[in-house]
Amino acid sequence: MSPLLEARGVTRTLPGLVPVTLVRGIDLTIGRGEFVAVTGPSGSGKSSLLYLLGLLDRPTEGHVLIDGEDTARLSRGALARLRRQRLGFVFQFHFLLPEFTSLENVLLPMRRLGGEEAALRARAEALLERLGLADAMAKLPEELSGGMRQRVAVARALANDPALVLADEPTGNLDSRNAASMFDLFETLVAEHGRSIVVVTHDPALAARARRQVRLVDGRIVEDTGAVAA
Amino acid sequence: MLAATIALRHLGRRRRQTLVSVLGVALGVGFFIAVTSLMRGFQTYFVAQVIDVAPHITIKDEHRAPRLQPAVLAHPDGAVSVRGVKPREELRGIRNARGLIAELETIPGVAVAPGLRGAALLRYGSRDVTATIAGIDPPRERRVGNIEKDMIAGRLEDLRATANGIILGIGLAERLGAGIGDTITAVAASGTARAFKVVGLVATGITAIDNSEAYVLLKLAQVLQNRPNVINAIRLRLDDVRGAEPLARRIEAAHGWRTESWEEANRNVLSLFVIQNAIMFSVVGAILLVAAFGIYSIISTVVHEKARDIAILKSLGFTEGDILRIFTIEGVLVGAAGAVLGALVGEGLIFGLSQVRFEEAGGVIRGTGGFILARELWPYLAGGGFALLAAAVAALVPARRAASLNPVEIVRGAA
Repeated sequence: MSPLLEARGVTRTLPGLVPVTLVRGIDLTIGRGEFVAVTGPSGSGKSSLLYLLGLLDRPTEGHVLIDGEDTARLSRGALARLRRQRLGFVFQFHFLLPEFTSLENVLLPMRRLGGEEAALRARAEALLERLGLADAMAKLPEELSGGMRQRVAVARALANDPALVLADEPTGNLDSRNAASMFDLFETLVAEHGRSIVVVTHDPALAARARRQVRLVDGRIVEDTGAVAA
Repeated sequence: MLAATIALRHLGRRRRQTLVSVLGVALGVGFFIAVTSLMRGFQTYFVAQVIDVAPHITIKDEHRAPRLQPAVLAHPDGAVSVRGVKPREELRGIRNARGLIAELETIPGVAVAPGLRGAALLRYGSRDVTATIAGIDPPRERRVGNIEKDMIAGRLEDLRATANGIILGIGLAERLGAGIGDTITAVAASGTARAFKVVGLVATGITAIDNSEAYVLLKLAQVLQNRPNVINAIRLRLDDVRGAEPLARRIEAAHGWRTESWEEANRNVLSLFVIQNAIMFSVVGAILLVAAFGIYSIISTVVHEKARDIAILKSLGFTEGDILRIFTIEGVLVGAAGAVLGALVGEGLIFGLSQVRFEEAGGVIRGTGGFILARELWPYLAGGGFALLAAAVAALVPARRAASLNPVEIVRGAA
């Protein structure tokens, strides 16, 4: 069985008068049900790696494979479909659409994927309830606290039941209590729902809660504590 | 559906700017509808007047091109120079007019009336006025012209009931100072003079005609002009006026006489209408263009403001096509709202214009007394359609920009 996600010799260089290499020669395999924390100093290429793994960016060299399928040859539309069906993103800022309520924000990716509206709504409501946001469903993002917004963003990332959740500094704007709560949630998703999670974080304490830590320095992996689970 | 929902929310968030853009489009569409109604109303009225007053086709006793000289006919390919040709004096008039009339009367949907028109001097008391005397055949004239309908005193039939009866244009009667029952003298170019009794007055509404035309029986006109049995004009009226030009061409080709349709006779006026329409569409087009810039402005602003949302939508698996659709729909929604509101603005303007009343100098109201407004569906459809098209095109540019935004750059910028 092929791993969920695989990066083979991935390099990303920004063109320009002085080309800047964000990540270089990354080989990384993410298995199903893995909880991986990507750490490293600022500018080490953590976020760049996440965008490459999440198919938001294309590598200059190397390949990213999802379920064994090389994504290099896929069109932008096909990449979008993969993101829609297999991946979920959580960013440092919640990036909720301000015109939509919490429930509608969660429903957005669901509606794009398609399905019966009543069933989608029921699933979105269940998701928000599970994240302790039952009272926030009808509220606009501006009416929610920072922690609640980020949980809604997590709910949105989970909306289409993705195999892999990619989180870029999801606790960067949260206090320690909310940050710990967020990691509790990630642990639950991995343990109870078998999802894979790759989370970029600066916080060593939070990173330590992940079963595997990958440390980046200057765009290269300098440490990887775990192997592929399955 | 999802794209439309997102588009609506974006616009709803920027109510004031959206409203201004919608109003811009609405004004453009509204003015287009009102001005079109005004122009078309005037033009239709004018054409109707022309068609109403004049025959649809007039066959004249003249040829469009001079007759070819025998030498030219004998040497069609040669270089022929004919000098010192003295034109032969010939008796003007349509030859074999009766046969031609009989032939034309067999065409379905065509009414035919012969006539003899000629200049004459009308004298009443001390006043002499130059006029055109038209000899007509009342029963046939009734079917071709509207003289009977335009009569404000007397009846067309009185021409036959009264010996030497004459019907005067209202302006002509005023210039002569003559009225019903007065006897005037007509002197033709041939020198023949004859007394006529005024039996009717006609007001067509066209000053040039009312000031110069008089009508007598065809036979009396032939006597006055000293041109027995001559007819110099055959006038036709068609059930379908659109057939006038092709029929005129057929008659002229078959018989050689210069045959003018109402369109040819009024070609300069009709070409003026084309220029008028071009000016109108240019002005209104400019208004809609400004409105389109308004739409471009709002969609550009929304794209700029929503760059982060676009990035997040892309990360959620929305395609470039989805993003393009969202922002194009926004433009089209503004255009559609503007078109609907514009139709109401147009209706309001038309209603306002319909309330305007004119009075001519001297307190005499002639013609319509107000704006003539055409009520047609097509300006609404054309104005709305153009607004939608302009909106879609205006939105497409920023929408394409939105679709091509790189989410990574935006997310990095926001971090």
